[in-house]
Amino acid sequence: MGVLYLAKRLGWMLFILFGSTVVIFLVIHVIPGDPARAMLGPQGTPEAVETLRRELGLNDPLWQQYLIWVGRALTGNLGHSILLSKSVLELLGERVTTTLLLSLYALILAVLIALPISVMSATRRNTIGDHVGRLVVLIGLAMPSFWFGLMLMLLFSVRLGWLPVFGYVSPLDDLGQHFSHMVLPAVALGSGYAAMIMETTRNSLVDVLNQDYIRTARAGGLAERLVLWKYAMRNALIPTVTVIGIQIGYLMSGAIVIENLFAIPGIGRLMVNAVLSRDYPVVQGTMLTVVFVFAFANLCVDLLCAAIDPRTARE
Amino acid sequence: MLGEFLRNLRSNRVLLAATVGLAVFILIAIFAPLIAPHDPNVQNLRVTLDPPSHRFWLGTDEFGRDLASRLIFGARNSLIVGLSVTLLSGLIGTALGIVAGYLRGIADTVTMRAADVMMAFPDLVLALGLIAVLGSGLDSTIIALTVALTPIFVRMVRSRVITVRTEAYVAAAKLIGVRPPVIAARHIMPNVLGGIVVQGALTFAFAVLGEASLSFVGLGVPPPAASFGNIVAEGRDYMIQAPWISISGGVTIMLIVLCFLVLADGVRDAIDPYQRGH
Repeated sequence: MGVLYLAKRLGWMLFILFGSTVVIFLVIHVIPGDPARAMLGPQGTPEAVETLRRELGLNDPLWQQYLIWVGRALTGNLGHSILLSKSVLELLGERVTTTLLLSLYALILAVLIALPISVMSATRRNTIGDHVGRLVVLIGLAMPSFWFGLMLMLLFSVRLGWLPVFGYVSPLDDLGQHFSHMVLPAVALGSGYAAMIMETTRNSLVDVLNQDYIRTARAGGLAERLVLWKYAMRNALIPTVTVIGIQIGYLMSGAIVIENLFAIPGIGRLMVNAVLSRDYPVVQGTMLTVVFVFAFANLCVDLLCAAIDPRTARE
Repeated sequence: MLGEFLRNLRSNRVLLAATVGLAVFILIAIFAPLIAPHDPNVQNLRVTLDPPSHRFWLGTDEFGRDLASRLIFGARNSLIVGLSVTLLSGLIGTALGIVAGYLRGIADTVTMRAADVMMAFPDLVLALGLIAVLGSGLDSTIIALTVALTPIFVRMVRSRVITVRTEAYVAAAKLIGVRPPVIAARHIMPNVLGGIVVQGALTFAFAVLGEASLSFVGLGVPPPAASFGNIVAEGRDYMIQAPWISISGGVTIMLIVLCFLVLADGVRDAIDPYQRGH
């Protein structure tokens, strides 16, 4: 993997981050309506609105407001929450690990479930197992994750009493409790994600298994196990890794609802509460964090793909 | 494409079931006031949390409102959101995709970089950011989901247009002096249409799921209006006494989305028969 490729991907990530700051800024500032008025609500007197407008710099030209905002964000100053009397950075710092852990567990679970099933599906095409596997994929894609979470909660927490109903325990306080609180949210969040990984892996593996070099490997008398895991998987995994990366966005969308369902204090819950109370600095901060995580994840995926198949880096 | 699709419909029972299912969903949504056995918003505190019965097919909620009627009217909101989002993002996405893919050059670069930036936001995050400013409501839900789901459309249409514009029949049309708008409308559009229909079906599914998610966290269609997300959210507090509320809401969402996914697959097979059974 060349330095040039790395530099290119880094440059692309910086461009995306720059673009997304423009979008986040414009969403709040250009859409009709006065943020100051909206933040103060109907009780806000015209004087109070004017004061807040001046405080937020809303009377300056737009480009100047943008530069000031980005400049501050770069130094870690994302403003203060209007509602929670804390700095936005502090609020994000308290919550970002929780969301990252939840997403990580969901990702690991999804991959562990998806890979064996898709390999089974692809190698035994059009058998009962394959049909069941594909049905599971469809249901996984169609099922709203928050509803699946609710059903898991109903069964495992309420009816059987095996797991806590909701809440969160930090891994630093009690690791066992941490996991028992995270199992159901991670399964609920990972289900749709697993379905996407399954669909992609099965299809790409079917494609690869039909290629000439696989036929040659088989004709040469290589054991089927070796053909599948050493030669077919390496090529088949590239779309899988790509979909895992792209759909991290899906995972983060899902985390918003799942955190709200299970009362997990993460970025998603923070964002929904900020939107409900029109706490704009927090809304901007959460959007920025999510985009950053997403862009960074995609950078990692690009590099991983280049490591698996050096040809992708040369294109 | 339509002929191939109809032929598939006869041989593929799953596709047939999904198509019939969607037709039923649309009819129920349109004729909701005629079909619903009760008023979806009338409260009757004497029958709160009643289990499914003759009088209330799917039981009642905490205010004694008939759940079946609420689901029927919820279908209406779901159809309004799904259809509006699909039409809007389909129209905008197709127009931008054709311009970018056909003209290439600066128009293409600007459109595609903008789409890339929009796609750096997970759908729901972008939608929530917009709702923060617009306020929650049916209109905001539609606008927010349209903005979030349009970039995929643009990208898909553009890549198809780029494939089609290098075909010999387009070159021939150019040579005999057909004007670009006519080429776009008569020669490129028909070949991009299939992809648009597939993407449209998927967008509809995402919009239904998106509306349900937004309503579930209290930022979609505001209660007391019936919506699938609201119904699941309301049932959440009565999961022990009345699990049927959340269960029926979720199952309905799942069935509708499932039908759209199967339909998208069916249309894809009809456009490209070689991919079938893949």
